[in-house]
Amino acid sequence: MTSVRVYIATTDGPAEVQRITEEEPNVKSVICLDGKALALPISPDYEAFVRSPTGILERAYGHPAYRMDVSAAISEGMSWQLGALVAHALLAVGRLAQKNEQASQVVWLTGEVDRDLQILPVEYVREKIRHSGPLLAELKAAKVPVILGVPRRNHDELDTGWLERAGKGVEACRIVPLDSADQILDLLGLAAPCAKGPQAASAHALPFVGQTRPMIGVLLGLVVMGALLSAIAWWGYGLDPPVRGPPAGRAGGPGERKGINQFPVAAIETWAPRGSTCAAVNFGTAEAEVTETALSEHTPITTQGAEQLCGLRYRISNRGGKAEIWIFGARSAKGSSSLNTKILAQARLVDEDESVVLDIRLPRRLQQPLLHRLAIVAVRSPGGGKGQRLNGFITALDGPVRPAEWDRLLAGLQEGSLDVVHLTHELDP
Amino acid sequence: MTGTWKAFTQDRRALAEQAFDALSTLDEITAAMRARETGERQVGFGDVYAYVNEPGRPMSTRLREALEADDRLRDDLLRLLAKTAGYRCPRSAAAGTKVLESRHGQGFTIRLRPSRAEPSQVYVVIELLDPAAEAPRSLFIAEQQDGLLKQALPEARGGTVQLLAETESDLIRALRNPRSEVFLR
Repeated sequence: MTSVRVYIATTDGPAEVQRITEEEPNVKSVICLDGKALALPISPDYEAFVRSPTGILERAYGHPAYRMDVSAAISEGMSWQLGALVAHALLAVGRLAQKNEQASQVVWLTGEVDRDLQILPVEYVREKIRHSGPLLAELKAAKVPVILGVPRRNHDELDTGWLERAGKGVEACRIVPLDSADQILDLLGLAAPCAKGPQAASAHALPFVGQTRPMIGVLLGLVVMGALLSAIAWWGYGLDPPVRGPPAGRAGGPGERKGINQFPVAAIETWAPRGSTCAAVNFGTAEAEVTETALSEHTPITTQGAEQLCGLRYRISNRGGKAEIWIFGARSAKGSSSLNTKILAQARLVDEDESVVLDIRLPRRLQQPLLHRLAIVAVRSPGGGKGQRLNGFITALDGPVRPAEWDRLLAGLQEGSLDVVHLTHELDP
Repeated sequence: MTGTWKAFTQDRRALAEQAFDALSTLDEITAAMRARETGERQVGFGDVYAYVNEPGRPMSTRLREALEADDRLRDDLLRLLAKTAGYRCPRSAAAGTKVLESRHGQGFTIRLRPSRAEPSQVYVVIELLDPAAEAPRSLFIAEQQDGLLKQALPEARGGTVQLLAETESDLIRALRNPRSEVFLR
């Protein structure tokens, strides 16, 4: 079972959760600095976060007073709440890596948590990431996987270009946009907090008391930022916002659609007109010819004469219900025994009949056949360990994989009740 | 005496504080005059008053030396504390060799609870029986031979003030001493 170290992001740098201890019930919960007899000023807020009826941790884990030791001061605000909640959840199952213990996974968290476990946006996320640069670099060097959990709204406001420029170590980390604490807990293989009444036999056997949050069709948001940024540099794609397309003719409702029927993919190729060049097209002195080819899930489509291609984009349409969509890609020379995979879209909420468009940067010279592999993974409902399964998939793609391994991993995702579409597009010079 | 202070109306308390202010000002003036005459400033009631009234003000070396040397000044300080403290816990009636784990006074209780996380540390939990009462800002502990100890208090929450201290600290030792007297103001 993996031990997980929790860091609470602050603008002064990350604060490691070193230890959480149950204290006597008639003591107020405190957050202390590094084992010292020094309760931080945020301790009263922690007490309110712990103790019923205001707090959620006593409801979840059945004890009203804790002491949490952290490695660095946390001075103000409520953004520590997400890290505290996850640390408690890990503690409850004996997976919190305490001070000086080995950890096989690190989570770096910022976010305010409301009573329904929804994650509220916080301030200074950019500064927090910046001040965590040395730690992230250190973890990258030690090959310890890191998940950075941030409120979705903060995530949406992050400038990936800035991250690329700012981040020593950042590129090795996954950034998870979060709507609910359930998502990060699911990602870590933890049960959501449960009520623990006097009769409760198991802390995780009951539904959450007072649970009112809608079970939105979002399981989790994950970004392999390193892969994403590398993809920008290496594969070079631009991701357009979802666009609503005309309703397609349907054979049935969303529930009846499977595979490519729910995610039809088109390769949109831009060519220079006969006798002209891509440069002329790019400078607007020649009008491009555009072709659109539907890709097939089972029969690889080949584009001949691809060295003449001026542009290529893939349009993935959602013909099923609203879903969170992940798109993974791999580009390799035909016949290559190794694939470098990239995440091309992550945790994109796409409504029915909307499309996601990926602009692909083509190599300057195409001298040998290239294979583009695309895998579209849709999460339509949370739970069932889907987040953990997806996390495992992403982790497995951390380095080069063999084509057979890629296929096997995708098959594993399908077995995990995730909707998966896998396509291959060959570009022949 | 504390009971007398508590019996005062708000107006009478204000008047008393003005009187203390006036006395301390007078004391500072006379001390300054003496200082001009002798070349050094004397520690006076003004120093005692400031020490008692300002939660964050530590005891200066000069004041400590003066209290050790001048029983009258020390008596002034204790009298001031006794008159102005909102809560007071006298020496334990059953004063013996046994150390105390809790102190009880009129309107409040102080409990010492060891930390499970750090056995070398102790929670000092001050519970006010009337949560709406004005919360104390300072804790004073007077011991017969070892002078006076002062501890600034964090903000009260729901009628409870809590702080954390090392088991071997002077604060905990003094609180456990049945012959000590505790003031909260």
